[in-house]
Amino acid sequence: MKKMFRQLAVILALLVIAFCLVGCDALDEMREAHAVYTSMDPPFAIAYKDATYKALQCPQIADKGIMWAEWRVFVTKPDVPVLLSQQVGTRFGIDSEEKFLTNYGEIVYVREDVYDAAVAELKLEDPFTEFQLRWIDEDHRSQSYTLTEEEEDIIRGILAEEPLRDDDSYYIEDSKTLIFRSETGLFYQEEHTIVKKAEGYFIQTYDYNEKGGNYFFPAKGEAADLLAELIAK
Amino acid sequence: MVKKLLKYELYAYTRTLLPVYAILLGISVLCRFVQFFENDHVSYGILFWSSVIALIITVIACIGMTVGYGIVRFYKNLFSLEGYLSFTLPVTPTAHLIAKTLGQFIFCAAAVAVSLVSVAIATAGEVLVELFRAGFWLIGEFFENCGGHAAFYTLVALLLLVIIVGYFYLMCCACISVGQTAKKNRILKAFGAYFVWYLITQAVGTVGIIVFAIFGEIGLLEAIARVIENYPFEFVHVLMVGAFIIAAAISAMFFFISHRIMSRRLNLE
Repeated sequence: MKKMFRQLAVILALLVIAFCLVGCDALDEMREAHAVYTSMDPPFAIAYKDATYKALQCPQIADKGIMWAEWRVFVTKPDVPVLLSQQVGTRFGIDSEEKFLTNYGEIVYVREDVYDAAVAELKLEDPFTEFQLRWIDEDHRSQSYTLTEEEEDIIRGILAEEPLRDDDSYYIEDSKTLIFRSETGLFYQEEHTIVKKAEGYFIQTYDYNEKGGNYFFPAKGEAADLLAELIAK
Repeated sequence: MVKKLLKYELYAYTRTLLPVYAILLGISVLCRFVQFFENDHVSYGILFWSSVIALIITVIACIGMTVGYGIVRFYKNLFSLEGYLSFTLPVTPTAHLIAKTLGQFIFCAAAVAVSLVSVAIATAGEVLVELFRAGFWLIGEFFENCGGHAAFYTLVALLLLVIIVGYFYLMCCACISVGQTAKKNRILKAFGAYFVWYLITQAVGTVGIIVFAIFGEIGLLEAIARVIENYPFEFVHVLMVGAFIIAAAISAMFFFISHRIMSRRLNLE
């Protein structure tokens, strides 16, 4: 009888240990989405995934635009448990490179290692320096590719040509978004789309001025090959 | 004498409900075991959610069976053939009622406790730790926001829970007792008694709504809204204590009805 109880106790103890060691994917996902305010007084700061994000006032948001953001981070006070972070926390957007946290107010939280560069960009009249390709992958995550200097030259060459006016977007076979952005990615402007149609490859842009409408910049030869390569990413 | 009656009540409950609790704990272990194989495949999702649904259904069944068994036991023990034995004991109807009500309280609490243990087993590990953290944080926020009122709210809420269990059980006992006064179709008459009580509560509720609407037209609702705005904590105190007093009074009424029928109008088969 004693031996049986001892064996039962050992089995129960092993079960308890085993149960405690097994993790939970859903909990891990919630932890990935949880950030905390490290400072509730100025200067404000947020801690997210072992990085600190410092607050930066960006009053020129209306003029320059702000980077793309996925709304998947919830910021709470430090004492809030992770299970309640999505109910109690403030939803923030984060860019695909995880450099910026924003809820589209005037304050953007910039990762510490990029902070000085972002402050410098804020002072520039024209901070836009590079083209970046952006798309959503199969896991619904935002992906990006920064074009090289040669590729940028080819893109600028395409955009320098005379565009074709065409409102017919039904026959687009494939497309990816192309943005013109600052080096850190804090600002972006002039969103274009690389499109593949039956007639070939184009860069599409929409004219928001008086004329309005879709404009297609045709690509030929080496430029078309580049657009094909970018669309295939 | 109530102690002895209660002892046998608890024996009867244990004999019937212990296997149910064991099944509930077994399903929670199974639910936790399934999580060892966590992955993104659809088959794991089907297995996991099936185990969770099975656990939820078993928890509901466990609590439902505890309540149902208490009511059935009241009927069988006092108004069926067993009643001939029960009423020959040197025990007053009051003692019978108290023992049965206490037995129901204890095993409702046990059913809830076993359900919580089963949830703890099913979430054992990191999730359980986070659940406790979340629970303590919420309690902390509650005490921080309500200050000194929080302790009183907690106490009254616990008393309300107890009185609601007693209210429901004594209501069923009263309906069964009323049903027993019939010569035939006693169960049907018991349902009829419950239906009459339901109609009465609905009628009172409707009259209350009409009165409230009339008050609204003469501006009394705005006055009540101002009181709530200026004294929110006190208003909740009044509501909770008022609900407790009303529930206790109605429970006492049901107790009296059952007692009266058992002592003056007993009509065994």
